[in-house]
Amino acid sequence: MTLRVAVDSFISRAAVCSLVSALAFGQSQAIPESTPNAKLERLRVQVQRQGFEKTEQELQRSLQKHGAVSSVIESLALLYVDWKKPDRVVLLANQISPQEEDVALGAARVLTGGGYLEHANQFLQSFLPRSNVFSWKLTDLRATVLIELGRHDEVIKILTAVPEGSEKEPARYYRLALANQGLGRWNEALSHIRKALQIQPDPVYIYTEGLLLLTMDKLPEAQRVFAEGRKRFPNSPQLCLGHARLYSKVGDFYRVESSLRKAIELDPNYGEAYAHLGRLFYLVGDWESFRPTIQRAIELQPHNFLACYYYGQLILLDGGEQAQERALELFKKSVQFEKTFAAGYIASGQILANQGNGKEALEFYQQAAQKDPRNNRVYYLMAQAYRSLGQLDEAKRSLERAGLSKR
Amino acid sequence: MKKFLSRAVPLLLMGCCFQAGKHQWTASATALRFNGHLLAANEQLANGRITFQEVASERGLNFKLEHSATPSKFLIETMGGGSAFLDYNRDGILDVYLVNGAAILGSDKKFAKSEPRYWNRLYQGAASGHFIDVTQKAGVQGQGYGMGVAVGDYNNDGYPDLLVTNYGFNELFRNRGDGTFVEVGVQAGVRGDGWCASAAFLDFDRDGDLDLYVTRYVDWSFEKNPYCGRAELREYCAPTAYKGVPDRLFRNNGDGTFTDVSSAMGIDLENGKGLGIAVEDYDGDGWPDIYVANDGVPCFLFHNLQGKRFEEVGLLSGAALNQHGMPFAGMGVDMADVNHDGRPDIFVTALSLEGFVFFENRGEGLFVDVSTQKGILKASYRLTGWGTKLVDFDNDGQRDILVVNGHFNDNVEHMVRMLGTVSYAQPLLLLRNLGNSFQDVSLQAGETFQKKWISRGAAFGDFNNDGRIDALVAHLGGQVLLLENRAVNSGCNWIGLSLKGTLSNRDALGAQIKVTDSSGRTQYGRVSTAGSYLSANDKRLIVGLGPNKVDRVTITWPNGRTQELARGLSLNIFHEVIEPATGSP
Repeated sequence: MTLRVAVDSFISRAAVCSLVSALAFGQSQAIPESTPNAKLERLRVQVQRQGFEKTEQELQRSLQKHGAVSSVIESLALLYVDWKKPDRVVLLANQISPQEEDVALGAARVLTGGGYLEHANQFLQSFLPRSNVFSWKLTDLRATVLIELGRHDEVIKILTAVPEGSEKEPARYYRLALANQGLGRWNEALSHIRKALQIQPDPVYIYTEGLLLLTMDKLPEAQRVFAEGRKRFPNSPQLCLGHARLYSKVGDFYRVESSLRKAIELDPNYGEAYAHLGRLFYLVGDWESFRPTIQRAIELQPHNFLACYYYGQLILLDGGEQAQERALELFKKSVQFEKTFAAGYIASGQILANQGNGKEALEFYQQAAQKDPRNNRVYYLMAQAYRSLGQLDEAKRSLERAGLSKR
Repeated sequence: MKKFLSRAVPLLLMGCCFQAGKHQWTASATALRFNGHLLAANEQLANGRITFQEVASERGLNFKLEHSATPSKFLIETMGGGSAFLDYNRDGILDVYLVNGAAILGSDKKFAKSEPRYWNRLYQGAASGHFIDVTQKAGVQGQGYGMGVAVGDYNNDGYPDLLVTNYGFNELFRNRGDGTFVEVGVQAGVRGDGWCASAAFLDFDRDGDLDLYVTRYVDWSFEKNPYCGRAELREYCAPTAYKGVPDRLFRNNGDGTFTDVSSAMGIDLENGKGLGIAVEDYDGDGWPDIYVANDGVPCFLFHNLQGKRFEEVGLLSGAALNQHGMPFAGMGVDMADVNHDGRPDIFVTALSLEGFVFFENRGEGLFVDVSTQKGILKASYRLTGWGTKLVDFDNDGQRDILVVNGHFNDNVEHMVRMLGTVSYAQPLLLLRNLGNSFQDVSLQAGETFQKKWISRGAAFGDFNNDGRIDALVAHLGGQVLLLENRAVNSGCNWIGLSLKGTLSNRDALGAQIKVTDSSGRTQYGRVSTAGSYLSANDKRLIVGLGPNKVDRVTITWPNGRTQELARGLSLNIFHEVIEPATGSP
C-alpha cells in the first residue's frame, strides 16, 4: 500500500513527464539514440588510430574545404559530443550557413541526444537569429529543449512570437499546452490542446488532453476522452497507454494490464508501454513478469525515464556487487531524461544516503523537493540526511516542513 | 531447583563456579537431556539447512484460534491472537500459552468466553516432549476477546506471571507457584482500557522490578465500524478509518501494584496505532528503550531518559517511516544486533505490497532502512507479516529471520489493485542471514513452509532444549503450529544462558550478554520476552557459535553491573547464571 502511494505520486509526475517527452522528442524519437551509429563508430576507430586532435583537424580542414555540409558538421558534432566537448558544437553554429536549416537541426539533435540540452539551446539561440527565414523545425526543437529544461516561460514567449495561421498551428498549440502544464496552468494547457485538436484530431493530442484531465483529477472526463479517442483511433497504442494510466489512477490493475498489453499488441516496439507495464508488475510484486518486461522497455527505449528508473529498481532487487552503483547510474539517467521526475532524485539520494554520503544525498533530495514541493516524504528523507551530517536543527526543520514534527 | 530436579527425566546437572576479578559467585550450568537423547545442534547430517517440522498435534497442542468472523467485518476479528513460551512451573521445560478470541453475541454485541472453545489455553510442557492442557486448573481461561500476552515475573517471586491484553482491558494473572494463577488486573492497577494489543514487561527505571508497557491499537468499537470496500465486496477497514490512541506505561510500585505513568513519562503525548513492541537499548546508554510498530502511522522509538521520562525520537532517528519516507503497516517487530556491531537493529513486518522493513542501526541514534539492499523487500513484498523474530536458527552465529504471514482481508484475492499476486493465506517466510544480505530459504525449510496460513502471533523458544530455537504460531480460525527446529548444521556449537537477577529484576529482563568466540567474533544479546506480535518469547538466550568455541562472556545486568564469566564455558548446554550480589558497577 505504501509503495503504491509512493509510486502513484510518480505517476502524476509521469503524466507530465510523458507529455514533455512526447512533445519534446516527437512520436518518432526525434533525438538520436546515444548508442553509437555507424558514423560514430568510424570516428571512434579513427580517434583510436590517430588521436582526437588529428581527427578533429582533419574534419575542420574538410569543413574549410567543402563548407558546412551536413556530413562534416554531423561528424564534428558527434566527435565533440562523444568526447564531452559540447561547447565546440555550439561554436559550429556560426559556421553553418543561415540557409542550411537541416544541417543546424542535425547538429542540435546530436547535442540533445548526448543530453546537452543547455548547449543545444545555446546553439539554436546562436543560429536562429542569423536566419532570415522563420524556421518552424528549429523553433520547435528549441521549444522542446526549453520544455526539457523546465524553462516554460521562454517556451511560451517564443511560441507566442510564431506567426499565427501557419500550417504548424496544431503543433504550436501542443507545445504551448505542454509549457503551460509545466507551469501548473492546467486550464490554459487544456485550452491549448483543445485548440490543437480542433484543427487536427491526432491521437497524441487526445492522449495529452486525457493526461491533463487525469492530472486535474477529472477522471470521468479523462475516461470519455480516452474512450472516444480509442473509438476514433482504434489502432493508437498511445491511447491504450492513456487508458492504462487512467485505470492505474483508480487502482484497477487488471484493466491497466490489459490496456498496456493492447498497446504493445498494436506496437510491439512501444517502449513506453513496456515501461509502464514493468512499473505495474513492480507495484504488485510480480517479479517474474517484472524482469523481462522492464528489460524489454530499456532495450526499446533506453532514454525513457521510467524504464531507467525501474531497471534501476530491478538491479537493486537483485542485489549483489555494485548493485547500488549501477542502480544509481540509472536513477541519475532517469532524471537526466526527465528533469521533473522527483522519484528519480529521491532514489538517487536514498542510495547515496545508504552509502553514507549524506551531503550528496541532500543535493538530490533538494532537487526532488524543488520538482515536487508537495511531496512531504522528501523532507523526511532530507531530515535523515541532515541527521547523518550532524545538523540536528536542520533535520528538525525538515521534519516540520514534512508536517511530521507533531502528530 | 528442587522441583526442576525432580521433574527432569534424564537430567544432567553440573554445578560450577565462575570467577571474575575479586568477585566470586555461584552459578549452575545445566545440560538437559531431552527424551533420552542429547539433542545438540551439531548432528552429523547434511549441513547448512534450516528446516522445521510441524509437531503441534502430535505433541498435544490442539488449540484453535476462534476469531468469530462475521459479515460485518469487525476489525477485531482479523487482528488476534498471541502466543507465548514460558516456564510457568520452573521445571526447565517450556510451557505454552495461547490467547483466544470470544463469541460475539446478541444485538448488543457482547463478547462471551464461557464456552471452552473460546478459552485462552495453558499447556504444560512435559519431559516427554508432549504438552498437557492445564488451563482449567491454572485458571487462565481469560474473560475478554483476547489479543496478546506478555510474560514477566512482576513480583520477583521466581514464577513468571501473565499479562493478557484484550479488547477493552488487560488481565494480569499472578502465578501462585502452585500451578494456579489468580487474576489481579484491577487490584494491580493494570486493567487499562481501549483496544490493548502487544505488551512487554521491562524495567525501564532499573529499580529491580518489572514495569509494563501496553500498546493500544485504534479507537474501534462495534458502533465505529464503517463500511469499507466496494458495494459487493465488504472489506476490513484499513487503520486509516480509525483514530489512533496512546499506549499505556505502568510503573511497578514494588508492592504488587502499578501506577499508570503514561502521561508523566511522555508516552501519551503521541497517538499511535500500536501493534508490536520490542525493547532494547538502541543507543547503548544502559537504559531500555521501546520501539512500537504502529499500523499506518509513523512508528515510535521511545528513548528512555534515564528512567525519568521517554522522548519519542522515531522520526528524527529514521526508524519511524520506511525507506520511501512513508508510514507502513507496522505489526510485528523485533530488535537485535544483526551485524555484530553491538548496536541493535530493528525489523518490522508490514502489509502486502509494502515490504518488510529492516532498520540498520548506524550509531549516533540514526537508523537507515536497508531492506532492499538486504534482499528483504523482494522476499517479503507480497506478504503481510505478523509474528517475527531475529533468531539464529542454525547456530552459525548469524541471526536469521522468520516471519509468519497472512493478509488481514479474507477477500483480498478479489481486489483489483493486487493483480492476483496477494492471497489471504500466505506462506511462512524464512530468511537466512548470509552476512551482508538475507536469502529466502522458505521453500527448503520443510513441508509447513510449502503451505499457506493465516498466521498472526508467533512465539519463539527452545521447547525441547536442544539448542535450536523453535516457533509457536497462532492461526486465525486454525490450529496452532509448533515448528520444531531441525536445522542441520554439523559442527555448529552454541551456548544457552538463563539469567537470574538478584539485585536486578528476577527475570533479568534488560540484561545484555556479550559473547566473544574463539574466532574473535563478538555477538550481543538482550534478555527479553518481548518482540514479535502479541506474543512472548523464551527469555533464555541461545548464542550460535558456528564451529567456534566460547572465548569470553560478559553480562551487563539491568542495574548496570558487569560480570565476566569464566573462560571455556561448556558448549551445547544451557548455563544458568545468577546475578552476583556485588560486581563492577
